[in-house]
Amino acid sequence: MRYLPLTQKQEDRILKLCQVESFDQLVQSIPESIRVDGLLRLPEALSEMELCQHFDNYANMNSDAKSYLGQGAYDHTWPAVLDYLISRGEFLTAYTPYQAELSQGTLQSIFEFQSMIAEMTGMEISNASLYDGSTAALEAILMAARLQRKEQGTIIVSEGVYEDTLSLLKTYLDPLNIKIEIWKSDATGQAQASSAPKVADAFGVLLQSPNKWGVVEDWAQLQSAAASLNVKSIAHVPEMHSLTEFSAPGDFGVDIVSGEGQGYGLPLGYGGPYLGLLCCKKQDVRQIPGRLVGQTEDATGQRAFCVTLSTREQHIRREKATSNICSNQNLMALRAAIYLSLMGPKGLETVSKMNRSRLFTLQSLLSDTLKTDAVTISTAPCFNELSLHFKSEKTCESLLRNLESKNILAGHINKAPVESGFQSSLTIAVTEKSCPNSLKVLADAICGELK
Amino acid sequence: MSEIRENLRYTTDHEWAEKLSQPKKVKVGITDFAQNSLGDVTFVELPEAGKSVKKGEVIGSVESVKAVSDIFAPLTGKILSVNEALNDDPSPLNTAPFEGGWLIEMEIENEEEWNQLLSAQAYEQHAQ
Amino acid sequence: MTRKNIRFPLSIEQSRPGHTGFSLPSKTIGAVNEIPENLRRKSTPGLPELSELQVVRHFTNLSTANYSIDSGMYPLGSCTMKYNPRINEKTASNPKFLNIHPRTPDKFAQGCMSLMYELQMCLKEISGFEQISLQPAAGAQGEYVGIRMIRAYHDLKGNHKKTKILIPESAHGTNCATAVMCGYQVVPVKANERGILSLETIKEHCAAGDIAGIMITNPNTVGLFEEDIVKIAKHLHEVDALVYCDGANLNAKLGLTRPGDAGVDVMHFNLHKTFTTPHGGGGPGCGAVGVSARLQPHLPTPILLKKSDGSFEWDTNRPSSIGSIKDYNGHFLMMVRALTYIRELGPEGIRKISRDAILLANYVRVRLGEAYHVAFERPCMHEVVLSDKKQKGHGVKTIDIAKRLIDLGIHPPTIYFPLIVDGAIMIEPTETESLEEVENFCLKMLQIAAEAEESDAFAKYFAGAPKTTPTTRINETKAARDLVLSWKEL
Repeated sequence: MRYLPLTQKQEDRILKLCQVESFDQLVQSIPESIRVDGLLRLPEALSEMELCQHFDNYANMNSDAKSYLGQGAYDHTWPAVLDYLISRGEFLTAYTPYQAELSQGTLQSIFEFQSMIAEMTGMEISNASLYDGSTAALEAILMAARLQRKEQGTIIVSEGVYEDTLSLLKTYLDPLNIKIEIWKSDATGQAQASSAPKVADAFGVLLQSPNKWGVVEDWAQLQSAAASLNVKSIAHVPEMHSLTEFSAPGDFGVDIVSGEGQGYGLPLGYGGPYLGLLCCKKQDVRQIPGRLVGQTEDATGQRAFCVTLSTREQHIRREKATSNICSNQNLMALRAAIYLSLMGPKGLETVSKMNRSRLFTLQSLLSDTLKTDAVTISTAPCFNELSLHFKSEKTCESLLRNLESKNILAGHINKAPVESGFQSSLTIAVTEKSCPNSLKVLADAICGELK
Repeated sequence: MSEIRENLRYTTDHEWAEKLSQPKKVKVGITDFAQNSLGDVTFVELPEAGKSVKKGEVIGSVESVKAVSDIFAPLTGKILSVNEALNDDPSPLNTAPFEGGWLIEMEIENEEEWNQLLSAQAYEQHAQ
Repeated sequence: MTRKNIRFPLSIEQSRPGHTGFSLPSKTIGAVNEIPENLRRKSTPGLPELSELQVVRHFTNLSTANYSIDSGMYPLGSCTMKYNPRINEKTASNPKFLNIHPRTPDKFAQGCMSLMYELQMCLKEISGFEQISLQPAAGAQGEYVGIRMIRAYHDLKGNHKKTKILIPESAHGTNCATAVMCGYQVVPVKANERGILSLETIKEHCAAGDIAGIMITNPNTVGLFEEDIVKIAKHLHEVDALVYCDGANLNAKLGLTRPGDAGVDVMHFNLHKTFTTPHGGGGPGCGAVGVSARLQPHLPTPILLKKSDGSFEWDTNRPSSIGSIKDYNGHFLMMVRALTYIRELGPEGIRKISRDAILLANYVRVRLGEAYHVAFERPCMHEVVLSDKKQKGHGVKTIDIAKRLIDLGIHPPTIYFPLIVDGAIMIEPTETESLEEVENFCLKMLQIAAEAEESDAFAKYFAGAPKTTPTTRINETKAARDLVLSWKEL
């Protein structure tokens, strides 16, 4: 067996060295009652050829459909060379860089990742990544509580946060006695500071942009709301490409930024692995969870990098740790670092303009052909997701279903903004990969269904 | 061999206390043994001046690269001042734990508690 | 910083205005909506401008500064750094797996769902649990799910007095942090002189009725099987407390014994350890969980269900579920790798994994057992714990042994963990290493032990180690004192 080199002869030699008669004597400590009898009932071993066939079969069981799904996971493109660089064994099969002298490749590339994420968000510090966007939002909330020296209280969360993110936050925050209060958006789906709820025990306010309707929020509203409540502000960015041309939260003095970096060169992959992001101000760095890579020197004075401030983490602080998190999404962070290095500011700008142009195309096509007052096309500023607001939830759902039967996955249905008077919103994602012809097909299909 | 100063009193948590010339005023720091175990100190979290503390209460922490140790109030009283210089450069905790590495100055309430602190000999035994 | 003080320039230091490394159809950018003034980005992000070749050279050169499984052995206890088969990379890179959106309706994602179901079935058989969830992103998240479900169980039953979790002193730091994240208080438990938990000690702790559960690692972090586990699990169930098992050391038990059979209620799997999904320099991991019938109702949603017609669906109708703990369905692309591995090995291969892992760890134990102090002098499971007790007298500590090993060309074992062994050195060879490779490691350890006994050894071999590597001994103190976490500060 190619991954199990130990031969029978070698086994005998080892048993002899250990002065035992049989392997069983080495595992006497396992109670008889729980010893497995014979072999496990697993499917038979497959050779490499058979493995390829087996997994090709699975892949072919997925059906093709034209997808306009978004909501924090986007079908972006990346340069071909990225996949070759990332598959180098020195990156793929390396361990966590605890022995820094042997891990300068990982450490310097993550230092560069941290730097570039800090640049994009406009913040001073980024950590080495967390699991995904929603758990990054969670960690941001817990960090805000720590900074306010509160163990319990309320986090104010904008209505535009993904429904799934909200339910995930509830799962984690309930046992910690942290409540969630919703900050309602206005009729167009944007949050206004004037309508931020006044909650006495609040310790933070979180605003997501782009939000679940694809609408881009104004960080000034976040800062204003946070200032009036005297709490920490959290900007949650589920689509980092939106920060290329739209405003960066760091430029507004936001305290903490959480986000999802999947758009920076990561495949959709039916859900993962993805790339959670977390940024903060330098003065707050001792409260940020997750791994941090810092610059230093070696014994000869040569620049080097190492994991630092580990005293925040679980392996030292144990129950007083900032979080239980152990791993980061290192290989995914490396993908993002390579992506950003290849794209540079011009590449990102091109991607951003293409996304905006595709969205404009879809918007124009729909405005020209959609002639029903059952649906209103959102005109709020948005990035790569466009919402159609429906008066009737039923109409919205049957549209989606009917298009699905035509192998078009037209988007995701959310509740419409409460203040809008609409019931449901269909949010359609387009990226630089959406070709104008397909957008015409989509627009025609939508209009056809809604006649 | 860790340095132990005869004129100071000690706690089982490897802190020292020194009576100053003003009545009821005491200076506190960590011992040579403590700084040696911790390794190079990278950060100190000090309490706020003016805070009232009880004996045994956690009032801050000392961090090295590999470990964190809590700082405990050795006596009940009020914190008068803290060694702010350590915020910029914590290295005196290693190089001069009994002098430049002092942590807090406090006003104590209870002479009895002072008498309960370990003598230099008792601490030497404890630190073995 | 002058050039000769730098091993590799940062990407930003190589940036030249006008260099690009991308290829996009900029001619087809049409009209766009104008961005309102208040939403327009004002600052210019400082990203590097590099040609494709510059980027290729940069990352290729950086990669050469990494030790990796592909280049050498990692005898890291508790990490199970086994070889990452490349066939796993091939199956995981099928475009139909790469390009499918996580919110794709069930009808279009039957391939992914069937694959996940097969993996669940295999893990079920391996572990003896009733049901498996593949949702957690990594071990720590799997732990969280485990303890969170225990909390849901007790909340549902109104067991509000059960506020504490028993955790052995030898446990991994994540265990304690996890318990606190779920609102529990940690009660540390001491092992007995044999290095394992005693039923009697557990009974004493449970007497007050405030214990919600116990977090066990089995084999424990000193490489020993918890012999009383069946009795301990039984007792906890009798006092309506639950048993969590940290599955980091599953590599010792494959085909040998199953945690589900021992009475464990929930265990997290580290697919990146036992089932060889690549570590990638620190992640991503993949942390499935298995549960007993007691905890089934509380599994995170959505649950993967097989319908009567053989097709699959995601079920969210689970009233007692703890909810969702991760975006989407989990690390699907890592699941493909883990299943490829399990399907390649088959039942005989799976069993041989643990057998070989245990044999090799015991080989190390005996080979090094005289030169080094062994924490517990009896057969170990898949890992063995030594200490620096015999070398300390010569002024050589665990950290010195580790750094010297680097100069001898091998990544050090896990050091200073578990905390209950002073100066711990935890060694796990793993079964993918040949006996020759393991012997080579032993020879180097023996060499170091011999060096430690020489007069003037410290200055000669250990001071400032590693000294022969391209990057020599790192100054970790400086990194923490003069904090620089991004090039923005340079």
